[in-house]
Amino acid sequence: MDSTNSDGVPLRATARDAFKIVIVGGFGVGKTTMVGSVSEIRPLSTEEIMTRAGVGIDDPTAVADKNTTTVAFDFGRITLDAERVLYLFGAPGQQRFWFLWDQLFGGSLGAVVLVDVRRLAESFYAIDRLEHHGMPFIVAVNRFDGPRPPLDRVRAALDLQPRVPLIECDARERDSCKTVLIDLVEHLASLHAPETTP
Amino acid sequence: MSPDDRDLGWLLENLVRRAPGTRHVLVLSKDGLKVCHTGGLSQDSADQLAAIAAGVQSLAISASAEFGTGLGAGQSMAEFPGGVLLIVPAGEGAHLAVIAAEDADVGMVAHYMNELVEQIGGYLTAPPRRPAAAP
Ligand SMILES: Nc1nc2c(ncn2[C@@H]2O[C@H](COP(=O)(O)OP(=O)(O)OP(=O)(O)O)[C@@H](O)[C@H]2O)c(=O)[nH]1
Ligand SMILES: [Mg+2]
Repeated sequence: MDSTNSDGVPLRATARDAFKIVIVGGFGVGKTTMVGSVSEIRPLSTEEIMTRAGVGIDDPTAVADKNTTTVAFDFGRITLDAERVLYLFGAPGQQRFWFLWDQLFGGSLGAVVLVDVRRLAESFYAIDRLEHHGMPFIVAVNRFDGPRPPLDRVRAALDLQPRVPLIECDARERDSCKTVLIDLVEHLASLHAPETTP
Repeated sequence: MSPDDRDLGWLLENLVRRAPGTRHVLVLSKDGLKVCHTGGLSQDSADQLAAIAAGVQSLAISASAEFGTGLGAGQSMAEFPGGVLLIVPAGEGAHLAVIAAEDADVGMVAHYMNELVEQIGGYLTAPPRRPAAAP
């Protein structure tokens, strides 16, 4: 059982800080892959086989080996260091599940927007929603095979504000995903840090 | 005998007639799309319910895998003011969802749902889009 400190406030079982982070982005950009590759616990995954009911609705042509889609959300956990534990919630990408996003955003400190440069438009909604919620985020370009436009062109195409970090990653690589999450945490910290004059 | 879509619709309407308190019946694909439903449900509500029910079922199966002793039948129920949502697995790739009145006899409704799946579950399906990938 959790103990209580002198102010009567319950203490956590550990002294660590837990951060709730959401991973959002369009259909098939690699959100589930990212949670799966970085999580230190068996990830909760709500993948279901894409059925013929989706013909004409889901367009998986860009991700040729994709057979399943997330119907609720992904969940995983990663301990960054002794102080910081991240709880990762991967959002579903298909429009019919977007109603879940607002609930996933509740209590979240920040978000990673995962982007596939071949289908940039898929990411607009995610960026819109995050801006609407006033939630800090960074954008990570998931490297798929194919063109690799320079990041400043991606930034322009997404109409990203200069203060939003934009990086590349490979959602299949644990270390690459971990770097993305550390960048996010650092971005969050910099937003809370007192203004420093250069 | 292979009922066509009109017959399926009729069988779903029949469930509303037989199971007291049942308001809407929907067959959905496990990836969250409507397959067929009763007439009282608008297209928009059917789309919404299909996505919701797919998510609920997927989380319920995760709960069963994590805390159960095996993969069970996977029935889910959600109660809320003004209604009850019941979901049972149907044929391959599909679930059967019912919205019933708050005071409906849930056991009875579930019984009729399972009976329908037993009778025609083979037609309440949403086959995979791609053949199972070779390992
Ligand atoms: N080449 C390449 N393929 C990837 C990469 N990341 C993911 N994939 C593949 O791309 C597909 C999409 O991955 P998912 O993780 O299911 O995408 P998602 O964003 O969770 O998709 P939804 O939940 O359906 O919106 C899968 O088939 C992955 O194997 C990557 O970095 N490079
Ligand atoms: Mg996913």
